[in-house]
Amino acid sequence: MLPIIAIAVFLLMTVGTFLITQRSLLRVALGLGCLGHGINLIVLSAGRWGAQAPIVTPGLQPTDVTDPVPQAFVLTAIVITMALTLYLLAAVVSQTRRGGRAELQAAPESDGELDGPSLAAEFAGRPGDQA
Amino acid sequence: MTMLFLFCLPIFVALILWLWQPPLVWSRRVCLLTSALLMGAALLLLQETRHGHIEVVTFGGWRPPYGIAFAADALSALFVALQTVLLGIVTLALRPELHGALSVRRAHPLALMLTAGLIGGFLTSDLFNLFVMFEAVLISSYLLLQVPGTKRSIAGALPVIVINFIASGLFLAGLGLLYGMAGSVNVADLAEKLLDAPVGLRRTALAMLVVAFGTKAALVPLCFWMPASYPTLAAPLAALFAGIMTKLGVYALLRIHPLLSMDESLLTILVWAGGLSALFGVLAALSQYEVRRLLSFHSVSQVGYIVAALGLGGDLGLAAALFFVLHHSLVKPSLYLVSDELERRNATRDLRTMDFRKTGHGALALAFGVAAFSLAGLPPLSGFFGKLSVFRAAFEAEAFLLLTLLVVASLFTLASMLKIWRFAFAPRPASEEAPAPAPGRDNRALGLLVALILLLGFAAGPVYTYALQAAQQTRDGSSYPSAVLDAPGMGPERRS
Repeated sequence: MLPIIAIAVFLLMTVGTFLITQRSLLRVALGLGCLGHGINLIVLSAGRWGAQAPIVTPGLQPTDVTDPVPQAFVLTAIVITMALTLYLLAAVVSQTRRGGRAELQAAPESDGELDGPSLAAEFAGRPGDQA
Repeated sequence: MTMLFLFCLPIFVALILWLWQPPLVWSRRVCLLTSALLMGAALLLLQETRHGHIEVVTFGGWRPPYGIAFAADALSALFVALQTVLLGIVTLALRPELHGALSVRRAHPLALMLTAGLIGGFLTSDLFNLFVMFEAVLISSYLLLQVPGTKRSIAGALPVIVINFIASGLFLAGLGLLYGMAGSVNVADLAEKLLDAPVGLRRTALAMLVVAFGTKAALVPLCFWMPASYPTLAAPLAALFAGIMTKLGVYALLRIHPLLSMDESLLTILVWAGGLSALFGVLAALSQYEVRRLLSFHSVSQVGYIVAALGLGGDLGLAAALFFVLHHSLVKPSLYLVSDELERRNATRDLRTMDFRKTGHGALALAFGVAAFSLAGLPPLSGFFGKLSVFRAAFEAEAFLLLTLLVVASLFTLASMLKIWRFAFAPRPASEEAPAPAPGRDNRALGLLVALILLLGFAAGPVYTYALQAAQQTRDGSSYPSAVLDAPGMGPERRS
């Protein structure tokens, strides 16, 4: 089992590393997903890959079962990865909707002026805000 | 109970604010009240842990390492207290009429979630739980970065997300390797269980953690996300980020210090990364003309001092790091608040186009003077004692090259502060007719911070003694583990 996992980790990591070096934000988001899942596999493989589920039954040897703790870790990590991937995808959508290309770029240096009208200024405050 | 209160209250209040969407006045009042309550609880925690006592709460009644536990020793209590104070000050400084009503409305619950994540991170004794808290902090910070909604803020936030995602991945992978070796991810438990782990694998795993924490703390060469993103934030939020969020990385390094000291090479790397950050950060800061960018490069430099002291190790090193954290967490936010005021009065971000006549003199100049000279390390301000303790740690450890590096960096710090002074405050030959000075306004948050800086300077002795105690407790490999692992709860007794 372990060699298969090792190859899978290798593939996910290489694909992920390639993708996050691209400019397109969509590719970066997918690449981060790949990296995240490669790392999840690493954590999974830290537990034992046993043949049986870790349910106490008579005659069960502790060395035969899979270690459940890394699986719990990975479950949490998957949820976090999913949330972040969704967040990045939302950024892609919002940027393309505004007519721009969703690309990763260095933050533009300020031209010294204070920022122009922000979204916050576009939306009027609610009644009571100005008090 | 105090710890559960500290962790849960900000989450509940944030949820209520999201669902209720109260008028801003109320949102602000609720936030201020929450931070006052948190401050009270943090004081209680400081009081409880003052004499080396360690408070432990186990979840679900499982004794660690089978369950997760929150444990507060002097180190944790200090960071928690710092966070609650900064939350109060930042809420006070966030003004709807200055930073936009919608921004402030969005920022309140997010700042509370950030606080909950930070407090949870400072209190937990479980590394995986720390990872989750890191994510809670990071996700709140991503959202806060986009709060202004300008093109620049959105563009600045994306690289931050990508870099921190990779750092978090390294953290998780290191954690997995540690679990594979030790079968536990509790800090209290790991030190003992890692003793007979294979050296190479242990070094790899710990190095992954060091790189991850170094990225969050913004050390050279992993620091470039910070100057790219901080300048776009509303200044009080930048103050919160620079003041305490980067310190979560520092705290994590302090917490795993007993593990790191198993491997001298990692500490050496930290010393040099710290020394280089101190010098690089300040040189980069000197070359900037935008006040906020200048300040954010400065943070890199100051975190460098902290991490160098931490890497030197020993009671002196850790105590110096701790004292410096306190000092920097008060001085940097006050400089951000000054920069906010400077930009507003001059209607520009660029130092070259600022005018001393618009800036005016009086209270703002005084506040800047105190904060800047404290940062530069002039006595009798807090920065002097911070730098003195770091230099002393370096001297005692006979790291003379590092000492030289830090002294040179310290001179440049003074130069960069003088640069701001020269452009924004100092009289220059007038060319055109004099513009009217911008009206000053009541800035209580800044006043409070300056008062705290002065207080820290005058009470440096007792505070340093406290930091020394906390450092001894952190380094001592037995008190924290025995308090955590012998907590009452279900699960087999520890074999001793």
